[in-house]
Amino acid sequence: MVAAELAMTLIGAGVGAVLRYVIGGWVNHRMGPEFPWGTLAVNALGCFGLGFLEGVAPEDRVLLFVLGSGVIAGFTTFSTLMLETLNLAFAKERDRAFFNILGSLALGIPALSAGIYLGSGV
Amino acid sequence: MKKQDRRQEAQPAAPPRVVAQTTLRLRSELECERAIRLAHRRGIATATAYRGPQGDESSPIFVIVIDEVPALEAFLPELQETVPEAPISVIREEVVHLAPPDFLRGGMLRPKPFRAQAGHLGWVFAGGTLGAGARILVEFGARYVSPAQEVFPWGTMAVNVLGSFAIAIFGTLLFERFMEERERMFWVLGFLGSFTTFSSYALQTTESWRNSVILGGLYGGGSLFLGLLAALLGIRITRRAI
Repeated sequence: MVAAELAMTLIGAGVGAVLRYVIGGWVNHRMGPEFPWGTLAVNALGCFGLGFLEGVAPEDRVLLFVLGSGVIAGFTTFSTLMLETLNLAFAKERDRAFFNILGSLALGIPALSAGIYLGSGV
Repeated sequence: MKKQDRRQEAQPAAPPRVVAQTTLRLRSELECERAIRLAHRRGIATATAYRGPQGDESSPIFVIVIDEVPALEAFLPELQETVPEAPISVIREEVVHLAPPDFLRGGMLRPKPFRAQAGHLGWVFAGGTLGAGARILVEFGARYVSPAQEVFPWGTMAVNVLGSFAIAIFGTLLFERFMEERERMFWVLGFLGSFTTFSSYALQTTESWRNSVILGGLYGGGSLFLGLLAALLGIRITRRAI
């Protein structure tokens, strides 16, 4: 049972990574190279998803592990955010680098709360 | 036969015979940066800066801007406004050879259309699966070592900081073209993207913030600070090594 859960979590994370590649890449292409919109969109979307999950099934540890640690955690990314922020700072775009961090938090945490609120209402 | 037809269709129209070339004489690197950034924003084909003949700090900086005549003429008033005191001269040159053929129409600047390739998806998937496995291993290990993981998720923090360090190394290697596209798909987009996580970070920050503002702030701010520091370190070390 535990092995099956783990396998589902890992496969979910792979699917999440593929979704990040496709959605993030598409957003970046649409919005242009001036700002890493793709990572911002992916992270905010993932925060909403995790919040929704927490709202719907706050007690179901298995579901939270399989989906929250799998597909959603694989979908969102912290390392790319750090690298893209530094790249902006090195390109003398200090305000954009700052906005990248601030915007990720300012979008991610409300998205999480909105997800919990909407999820617990279902 | 059919293939050949399509290739002929794809050929862009013949390049213009004459281009306009502007040379600006600037006094500071700041002005130079402003002028070049403006040219890039407006999609001007090329804007290049070089220092005058002496080559030391006192010599002026020249910026050369080249594009088709109408495009450059439309750009000039805005350029003059950006660097009002710089002398600007415009000459016209006959084009002998143009590469790539759509260079003047912004062929170099235009982003390539986004196409997810089936082969790439496989590498991203494989990397994503293994990255999550490594993350779960570290998180379980942290829980095993110290139950403090529940209050202050230092395992997730370690994962995010470690991943930021590694992505900086890969990012620098990629920038210097020491890596192939397939390796980028597996390691950067797949493994490290899935190894680190923003959603858990956001959830844990809000949860521990609710329990204790100090711990929440320490976790939320600490992850960002250490993550940026680790990435900076990764870039510096890699640049020194290669």
